Amino acid sequence: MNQSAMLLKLEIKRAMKNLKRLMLGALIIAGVIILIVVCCASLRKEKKIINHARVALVTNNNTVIESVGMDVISNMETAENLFEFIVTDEESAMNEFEKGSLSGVIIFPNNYISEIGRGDNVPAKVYLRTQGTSMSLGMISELCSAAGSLLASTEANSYALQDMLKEYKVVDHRNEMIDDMDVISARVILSRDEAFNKITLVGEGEVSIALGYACSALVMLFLLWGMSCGTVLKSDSYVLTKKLEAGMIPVRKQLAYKFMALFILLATLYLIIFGLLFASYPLARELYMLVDIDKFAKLLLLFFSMIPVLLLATSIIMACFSLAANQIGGILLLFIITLVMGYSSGCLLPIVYIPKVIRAFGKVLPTHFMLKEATNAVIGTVDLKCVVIILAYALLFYLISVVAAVYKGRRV
Amino acid sequence: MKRIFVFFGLYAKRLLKKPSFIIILMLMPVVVFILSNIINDTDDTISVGLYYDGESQEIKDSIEELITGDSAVEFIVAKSPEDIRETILRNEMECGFIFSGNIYENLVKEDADGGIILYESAKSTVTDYIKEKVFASIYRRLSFDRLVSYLDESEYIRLNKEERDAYLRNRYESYVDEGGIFEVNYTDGDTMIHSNTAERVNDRSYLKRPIKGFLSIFVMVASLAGAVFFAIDEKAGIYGILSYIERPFVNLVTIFIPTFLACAAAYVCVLISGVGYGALTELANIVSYCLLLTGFVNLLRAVISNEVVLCSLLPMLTVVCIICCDIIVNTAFYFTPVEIVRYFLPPHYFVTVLKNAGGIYKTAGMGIILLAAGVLTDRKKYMY
Repeated sequence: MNQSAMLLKLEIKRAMKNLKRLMLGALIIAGVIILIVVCCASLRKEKKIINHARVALVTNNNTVIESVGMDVISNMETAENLFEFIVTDEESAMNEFEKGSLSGVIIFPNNYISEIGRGDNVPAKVYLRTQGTSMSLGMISELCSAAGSLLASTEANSYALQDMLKEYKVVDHRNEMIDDMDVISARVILSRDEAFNKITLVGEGEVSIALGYACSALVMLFLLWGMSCGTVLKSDSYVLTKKLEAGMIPVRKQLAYKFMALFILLATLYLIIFGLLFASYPLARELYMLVDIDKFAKLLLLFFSMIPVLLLATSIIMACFSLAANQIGGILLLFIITLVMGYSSGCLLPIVYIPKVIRAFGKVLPTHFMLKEATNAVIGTVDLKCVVIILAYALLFYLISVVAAVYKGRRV
Repeated sequence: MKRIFVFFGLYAKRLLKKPSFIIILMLMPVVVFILSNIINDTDDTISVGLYYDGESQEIKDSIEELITGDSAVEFIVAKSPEDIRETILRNEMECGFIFSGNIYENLVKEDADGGIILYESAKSTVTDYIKEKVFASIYRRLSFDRLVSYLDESEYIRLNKEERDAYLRNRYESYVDEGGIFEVNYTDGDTMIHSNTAERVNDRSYLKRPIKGFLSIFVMVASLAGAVFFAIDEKAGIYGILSYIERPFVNLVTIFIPTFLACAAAYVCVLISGVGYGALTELANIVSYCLLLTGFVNLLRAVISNEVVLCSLLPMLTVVCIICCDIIVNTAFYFTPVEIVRYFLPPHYFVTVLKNAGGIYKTAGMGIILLAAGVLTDRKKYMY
């Protein structure tokens, strides 16, 4: 028993000794990036570093319908949130696009509208970068398609009317009627939002996109951090090596000690992140005065709710390093598993964009439940079923580590 | 010199002798193969529900057009508004539209205030795009009926209504279906023609595009893992017998081998997934990336010799690369310093090199410079 306690103490001490160095790498990266951001912002002397993607609108025509078309595109609500539209000439637009300062260019050719009417239209050209998310580029295509459809329907209307007036030799008030119809069409298009009554549905245990991604980032970070922590713990100290060679430590016992040391390491990391968030979050200011027990209780719940997630993350890391022959294999296996599970569970892309087959598969993966529990922790609810499933998965991965280690007949 | 080759052989044997390492390396192509097949075989992406229990033929025709149209969005007819609500809450649907019974008549009268209920998920990001699409489909019919309504009320024209409407319908249909309205050109050369009925080829390559980025990170992780492995071995004194001339090259070898093996796996993945620009072009790309990464990691290892600190760079670098290197989202569009940050990250070069003329040569050139810098740093270190 004394020896067991001593060995456990040794493992934990070794893990915590490396904590400072493990944090150092993260601080180095963070420091370098902050330095670059600050230098960049000062050199560019920009008032803001967060922008909308810029898209140029180019037209040489001045018809009412084209003005409406430009208005439609640049005032579409979602487009407005993501893009900044600027009206410019073709040469400047293409130069800036090639330099990379524009995300896209929309060029209406000369006589664009009149050519549509004659059935011999030259399409408006839309230039987009393939770099970056093709989801939003795909939606831009849909947006162009919708805008094009609105334009074409409106113009077909106008030309059908003109043809009819010509066919029936209506001369009086001809221009007035055509203008009236153009104005009506523009009004209908520009007031289209009024036809919709938008209702946002928030399910039980659901959070906003930003909080959702924050929870995903936390889960992924714990798993990815395993690449460092697992590697450190896979290397044995001299004392342990000697005792293992002498057959003094059963493999299962050693595995248990490493598991506890790894868990403590991850829990310490979580405490540091939690502490930083707590210190920066406005709620902390209120809690410093300890005026609201309810909020304090929610904070405690947030902290303790993540413990099952940490246990499962530890088990997955242990399993990966047990299955692999060396540190390189362990790191790569953990990376692949984290990526596959994260992608399938919607940690990387919004879940609705993922094919149904992968989504169905993702619903049974550990990361799905880890994400759910992290979300529950944030909103302050307890889902016992989720906790039980997480603990069951943790046990399963731990058993996999034990089987792998015992089967290989060697130290983890 | 001979000892460098001996170490090369020993190190490669050390990695390749373990079947589990080979299995892990081959896991990536298997995952990519399965993922690519699933993406290629399935048609579904974003699901949107539609519900209408009225009598308007125009709304029914619009719904039919949306359902049968080829698009990145899959429209499905829901059994009831509750069905739409529940499906959205289960995260199986992005949003849903419920059309009121007299919506079309109200739209013609320009009095459709909130007549279309739009349910959206709290996590929805593209509802407004889809809303535009739905309206555009209705507007194709609405536009004509609004014209007819205007003419019915107009004092300026007195014609037989049936004859007038038939003529207008004929002219309207002939104009509205003509040709493409927008031609979308992507900078890698793909072109699509958009018709005014929103007909387009279903492009779901956005699901496959991150593959190349993740493969570049996979190779980077393998390379860094090799550096950690080397640092552990160096601490154990394995390389003590080498001279100060041989050491830098052996250091390079220990990082090159895992990088090379991961690059080989990544190359196979690129070919399987079809996200590349051609077998030979991608081969040149991967070779230049292998050079760049070996040089980068070797220099990093020469500067940071502690294995724990090197290890600690792994998760943070991975996260930073995912955010900055244009893998899922091009954050540079929204956050300008990212443009500078990504120049320091090797995966950026793998993902974007083929978009610039001579990019492969630049990447390989940078790789050679970094290799030389790493070797010189090591040599200076071991000489003293």
